[in-house]
Amino acid sequence: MNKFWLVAKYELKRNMAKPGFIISILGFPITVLLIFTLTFFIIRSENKNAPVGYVDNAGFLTNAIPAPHRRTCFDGKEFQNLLPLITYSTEEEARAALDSRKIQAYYVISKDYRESNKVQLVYIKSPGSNATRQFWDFMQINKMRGMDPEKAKRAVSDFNMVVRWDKKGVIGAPGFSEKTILNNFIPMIFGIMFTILIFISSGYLMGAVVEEKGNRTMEIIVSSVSPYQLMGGKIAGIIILSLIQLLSWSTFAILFGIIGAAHLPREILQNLAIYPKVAGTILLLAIPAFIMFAGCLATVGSMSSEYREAQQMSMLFFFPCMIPIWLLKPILENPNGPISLFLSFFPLSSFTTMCVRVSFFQVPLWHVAVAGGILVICAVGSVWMASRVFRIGMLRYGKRLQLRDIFQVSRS
Amino acid sequence: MEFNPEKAWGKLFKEQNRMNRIEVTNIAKSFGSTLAVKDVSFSVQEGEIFGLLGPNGAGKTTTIRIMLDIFKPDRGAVSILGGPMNEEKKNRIGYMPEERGLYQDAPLERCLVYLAMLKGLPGIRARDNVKKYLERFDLAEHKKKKIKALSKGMQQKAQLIATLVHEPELVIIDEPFTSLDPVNTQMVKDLMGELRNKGTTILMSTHQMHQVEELCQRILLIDKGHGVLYGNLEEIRTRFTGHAIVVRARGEIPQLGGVKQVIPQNKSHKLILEEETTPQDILEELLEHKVILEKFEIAVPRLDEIFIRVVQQGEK
Repeated sequence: MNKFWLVAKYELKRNMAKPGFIISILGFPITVLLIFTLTFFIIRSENKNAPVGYVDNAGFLTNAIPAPHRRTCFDGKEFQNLLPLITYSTEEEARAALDSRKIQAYYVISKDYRESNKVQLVYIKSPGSNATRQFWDFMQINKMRGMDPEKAKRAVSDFNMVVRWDKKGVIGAPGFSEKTILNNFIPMIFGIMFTILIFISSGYLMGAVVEEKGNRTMEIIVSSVSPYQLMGGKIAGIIILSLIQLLSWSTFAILFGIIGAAHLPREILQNLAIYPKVAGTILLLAIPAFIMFAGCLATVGSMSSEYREAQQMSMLFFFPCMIPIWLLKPILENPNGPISLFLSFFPLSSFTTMCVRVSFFQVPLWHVAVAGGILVICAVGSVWMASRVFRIGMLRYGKRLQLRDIFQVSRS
Repeated sequence: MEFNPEKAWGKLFKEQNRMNRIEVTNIAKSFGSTLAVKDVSFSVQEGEIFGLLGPNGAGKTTTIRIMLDIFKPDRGAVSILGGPMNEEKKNRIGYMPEERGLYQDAPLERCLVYLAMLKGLPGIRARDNVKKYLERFDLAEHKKKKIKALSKGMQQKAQLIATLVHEPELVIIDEPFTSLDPVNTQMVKDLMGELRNKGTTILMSTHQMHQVEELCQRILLIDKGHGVLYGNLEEIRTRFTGHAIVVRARGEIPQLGGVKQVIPQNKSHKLILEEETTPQDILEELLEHKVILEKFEIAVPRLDEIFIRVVQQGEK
């Protein structure tokens, strides 16, 4: 077997046997499962089935369009039961119904609702989230009756509803969009997860380099293989390890989707989809980004004398990755603005920024091409740098390389 | 027939390379402002055990690392196994560095098989050779243990296995006897002799002078980055032999003419002779006094004495 693959195989087997790897394989899904289970029980406990009343002082809901059904299950066949909405002509009647527990709450629509949008909610014990959500939908749908098509478009974009309209206005009853809001976040969540995965895996690589320096194995290894074979093999092993990790997480996610579909509310898992164009863009950028970070952290490992020191230094690479998450607002407000462009083309923040941008917007092809090109160049450069620094730093037992040494290495 | 100098030199060069497995010519290496190796030249012949000696920080390890292409020299040249170092030659060399190290968390056998495979052995042969050496070094019953669970001596033996498991043509070994008990030291010495008999070339760097005296034919002493003493061990010792003899006799040694100084040495006496006195003169005088001799020999200095003398001269 080629020495490159021999190193990769050994690195893979060595890391897979570590407790940390097993914990990360199982720990992540267990955490997600716990969060979803908790969410499920919270939602379930919040749903209450008693009717909701309303007093329409503005006459806004005369001949009202009924509230639309929200589907509750993943397969889309079952619908959430609609709570009865009871009209009361006076607040006193509504109050009496509330006191006698016939209704769980009632809304009072103010006389000047069309101008002020003022609606009052009265309850003894806070109503279920299904009740408030249903009344909210009911109001939104009725708001759009006869609305100008452009205004309706803007309104539905915010509320996850679909409306049909002609020149005269909105036609028929609006319904819910097939697209869930979660769809927008999938690429971004994937991007963040992948970034974390990159750092976990590259951390293994960094640890391996520091460890080999620490236990003096390095000198024996480099008398058998070239630094390029050693570093390249290690990076390949770590990439395969990460793919195994990603595959196991994805398998869990699919299992979770299938099992959870029958039990979780429709609005959480409604029509989850990964769009090929978005997935393709992310994958295209993920591979060079991964190699680049692996190279960077291997360089850090070669420079450092202790794992703790290497960990601290690796933060210098982790923080720029997270900048796009902290600057989410300006990026979303101006996806093609200078901040977005800078972060898209700056190698360390490029991958996360592009994940955020493709999640919500159509990103120009040339932006993807430039970001990808920069990442590929940096990936090659970082692996080259890692093997150079490794060559110099590997035998400096107990000593850290100085920046001056790194500049010397890069110049030579 | 016309003489072709180029062809003749080429033939000579080839012959020379066949004989010399290592040729180091005027190498120098510095790290920043520190000059680790200033000027070192030597050659190691096929099938010999060569001793590389020197005090701490003399430049021995840097010289070895340059030979193995781990460091590039600032100047000078190295020819190893007949030419410059390359990836293929790494499979033909066994190296045991001064800084010992194996994967501490790996089981002994797995670690050794991996290192053997990195030296180009196919998996099956690597496993067979490891098994053979584990048995020879009495480590077979510990093969599943993690390296860190082994004693220091066992780890040293494991390190030796890693160096020899691929049956290299050239062995470069730094302090091979560290942490070994007398039984294992003898076993390693026997092994080195066995390898030499098979034609393996061994370069050994050590501080243990008595081991060098016992094993090496030729040596190089490095001090402060310079090669200060180089050649055949016997010739070097002869060169450093003073005008003295060692005598052990039954009873007292009488007052002798031509002797400058008498230095007691355990049960013997070292006699420092006058310029014009020869050992034969002393022998005749002793026989005249009817002294019963148990030992009479020319005082040849031990290698550690030569070592200290040369290093101290360098300091002066």
